[in-house]
Amino acid sequence: MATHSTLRNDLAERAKNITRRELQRYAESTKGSQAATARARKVMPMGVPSSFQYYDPHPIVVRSAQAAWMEDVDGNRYVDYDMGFGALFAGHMNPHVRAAIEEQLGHGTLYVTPCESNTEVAELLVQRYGLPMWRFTNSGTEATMDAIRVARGVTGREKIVKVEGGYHGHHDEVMISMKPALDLAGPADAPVGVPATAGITAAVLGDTVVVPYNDADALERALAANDVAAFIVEPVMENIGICLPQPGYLEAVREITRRHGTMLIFDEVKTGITAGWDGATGVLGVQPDLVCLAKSIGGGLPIGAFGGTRECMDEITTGRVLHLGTYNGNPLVMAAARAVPAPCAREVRRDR
Amino acid sequence: MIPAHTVQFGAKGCVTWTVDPVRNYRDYKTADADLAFAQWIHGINRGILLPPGLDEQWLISVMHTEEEALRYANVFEEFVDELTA
Ligand SMILES: Cc1ncc(COP(=O)(O)O)c(C=O)c1O
Repeated sequence: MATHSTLRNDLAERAKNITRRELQRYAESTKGSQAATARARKVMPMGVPSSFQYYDPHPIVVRSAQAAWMEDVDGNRYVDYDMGFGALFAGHMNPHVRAAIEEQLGHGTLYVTPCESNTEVAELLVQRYGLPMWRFTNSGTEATMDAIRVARGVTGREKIVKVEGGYHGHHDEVMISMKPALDLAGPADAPVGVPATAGITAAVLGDTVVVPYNDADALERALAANDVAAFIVEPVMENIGICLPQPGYLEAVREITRRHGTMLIFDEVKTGITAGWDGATGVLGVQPDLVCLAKSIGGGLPIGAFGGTRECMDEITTGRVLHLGTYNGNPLVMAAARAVPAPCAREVRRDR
Repeated sequence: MIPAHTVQFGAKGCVTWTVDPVRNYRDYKTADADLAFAQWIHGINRGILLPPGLDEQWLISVMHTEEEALRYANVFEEFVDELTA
């Protein structure tokens, strides 16, 4: 269609002009960030603590954040819509969270022996996500890593299946086909697993099978040999923009995984509280065997959690699966996690 | 017509630079990265902080006021006006 492509060319031309002008303006207004990044580059690869924090032409370097705002080292103020990659549903320094942290600081930050708030937060998660047993981690990465290990323990199987374009953290078995180049990724309905990073062994690559999202038939084929421990998936994909499940897809996923004895793991690191009080699991009404949480349940402090059916979590109870971590359930993070529901629940109820 | 639409799920949403809804990663790869970058850099220069490019995704926290939540929409409108002028 000539008119359509003419319009596209028009838009492309205007976008190019806007970008050129705005890059100039960005360079002028973020000189402090640029200098701070140049200094940081000398001691940190790319000048950032996580490669996700780098972006062209250079990231803004932040000095302060409060409520919905961030201020950079040049004094520019921004309304923050990123909100910690979705970890700050409670807002920057929510007063409830702040008060809880300040109160806990008077009682210590690390015990490595249990505290009562561990149980209180776990009880809240039981109420909300419909799974009876929980453990805490320090990040979403650890939550998905541990949930996958539990699934392997309970099934006695090695393979896992993940979705092409899905992100579940930075451990080896899920750093496959995160955002693969299409010339390496094979056919759309039978994608080839592509390592997202150097350092992935052939064995790990062989154990992770990749399927397209929203394609129940592809999942059926991947599970057909009854040798897959887990299918890990975000119920709503939130790392390729936002990609919604088509009607019936998650129900089919539940039926297929159950029929093949494969554990269904919902990665609700992003959706866990932002989707609603009981996560996407509650909103969409499909119950997995394991749920992974992180980000917004901690009110801005580093946290993760995974919950499972009794059968799954008994793997840990019996000691067949080991789940460990010095900072797991530390009282500072627990104090923040316990404070998050009050200000958020009000908001969620208003929405419904 | 601008090849873009919005998607919302709970407190999160995004602008996706395709005409049709994205059903999987292959659809996502058809999004217009140049338009996405132009919109991001236009926004950040006007106090709108989002992850850059195709992974644009907003979260409206419980601490965003109505005015703060809508500021992005206003700046986005400015961008679209210039794009289609
Ligand atoms: C869906 C999903 N799973 C897991 C993770 C990993 O969480 P973390 O960065 O806390 O390790 C992320 C982080 O962006 C995520 O979006």
